This record gives sequence, C-alpha cells and structure tokens, in this order.
Amino acid sequence: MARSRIDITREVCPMTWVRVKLALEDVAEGAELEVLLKGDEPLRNIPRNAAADGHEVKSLEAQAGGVSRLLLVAHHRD
Amino acid sequence: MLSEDQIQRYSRQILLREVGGRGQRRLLENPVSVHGQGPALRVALAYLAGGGTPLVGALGEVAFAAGAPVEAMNADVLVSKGPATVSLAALPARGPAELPEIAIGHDAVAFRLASACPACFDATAAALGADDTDADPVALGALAALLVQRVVLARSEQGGVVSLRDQLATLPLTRCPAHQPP
Repeated sequence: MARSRIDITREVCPMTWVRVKLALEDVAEGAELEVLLKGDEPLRNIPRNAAADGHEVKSLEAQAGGVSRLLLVAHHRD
Repeated sequence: MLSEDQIQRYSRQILLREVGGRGQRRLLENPVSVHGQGPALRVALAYLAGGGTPLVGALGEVAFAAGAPVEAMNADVLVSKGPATVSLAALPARGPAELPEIAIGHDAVAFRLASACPACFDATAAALGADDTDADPVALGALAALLVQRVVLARSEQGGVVSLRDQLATLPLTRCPAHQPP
C-alpha cells in the first residue's frame, strides 16, 4: 500500500492539524499517511482529530528525541 | 493546490470539517454575486473577503473584478470607510447568470444557485425590501456570508430565503409568473 509522510515536529497548534488534514485529503482512499510529531498537543489532538474525521489510527510509536510516529489510514467521507 | 500563503491565511477555516482544503479551494475558485446595501452588506462583504470568496460587484470606490480573488482586498475598507448608504444597487450589471446570487433584505437573505430561476430569485429579492436599521446588521451580514459559503460548498439547494424572524428556517423562493402553479 502506498504511504505518504509528513513531518509536523516544527509546527504549532492549529497548524499541526491543518497540515495533517491537508495531507490526508491528498492521499488516496485506504492509503497510509505517516506523521512525525512532537509535543503533548499534537500527540493528544492529531489522533483524536483524525479519528473524528473518519480516518483510521493504525499505530502510534515513540521514537528518539521526543518524536512520535503516527500511522494513519485515510478514509474519505465524500 | 493551496499556496502556503493561502494555507496560513485560511487555516482557521480549513480546520472546519465542512470546509477543509478542498472546500477552501472551492471557496477561492467560485465567485458569488452579492446584492444589498447598508451596513449588513458591508459586514457580509468583509466576512466573505476574509474567507476568500471572489465577489462580483462594487462598493463605493472599492471595485471587484468578476471572478478575481479578493485576497488583496483590505476588509477594513469595507467596514470602516464610506457612508452607510453606499449601495450595490447602482451596479451596471449583475454577474453572469451561472453565478450563485445572494440578496440581503430587511431581515432576511435570499440565495440562488445557478440552477435556480433568476426571475424567481428577483421576485424574492424584491419582496425582501431594503436593509434598514431595524435588523441587526452584524447578524444579517454574517447570515448572508454563511449562506454564500453554504451555497458554494454544499450546492445541495436550488435557492431559498432565510429570515432572522423565522428561526433561520429555509423558506422557498417566491415563484415568478413562469413558475406559478397551473
């Protein structure tokens, strides 16, 4: 399955979710989007917002340097 | 594709589930013809300019080219300058028939998609009367701007009237002579 990647470790709210939301719109139905994020706010909000928009939260893993790797599967409503 | 400037400028709107990036592109690409006068019109135009909707018309010395993006337009001009009576009524021509239209009346707003009858819309707009000081111009202008966005984003209704008096229910357009029931 094709996978895209976005790094939002340097973004702050609300641009963290704006970047991920736009990236999800650009990937095909069922495709994966890998999100690199950092900090409490995106760690708390990005998975929640993605799920609320109908996307699948496949995994969330902590990595070195306080970075987390979130894997989303895009599901488009329209 | 939205530019970086557009992403930054419209980020609060992109966040909305009903808009997103695709919806924001639609708002930027679809001009709307707006009719009305007075402070409610200026409020509506300021909101629409802030949201990226291209406008067709003119307000005093502020002119909008048909279909041109209004990103460069300073919304402050619309709300802080010019007499309260400045009007779009003297426009030389309405926008092309294929453009959605919005008319701001006394305490209600009429809207029409391109697929709806222009004569029905005109009959409805004429019955709305002119904007005056009885209605809250901020509420009426904000309502008009929201309806423009609903028309552009949803395209699910042909046209209608939303009144501040009727708890924001959407009422049908007045029928023109050609659409009167037999």
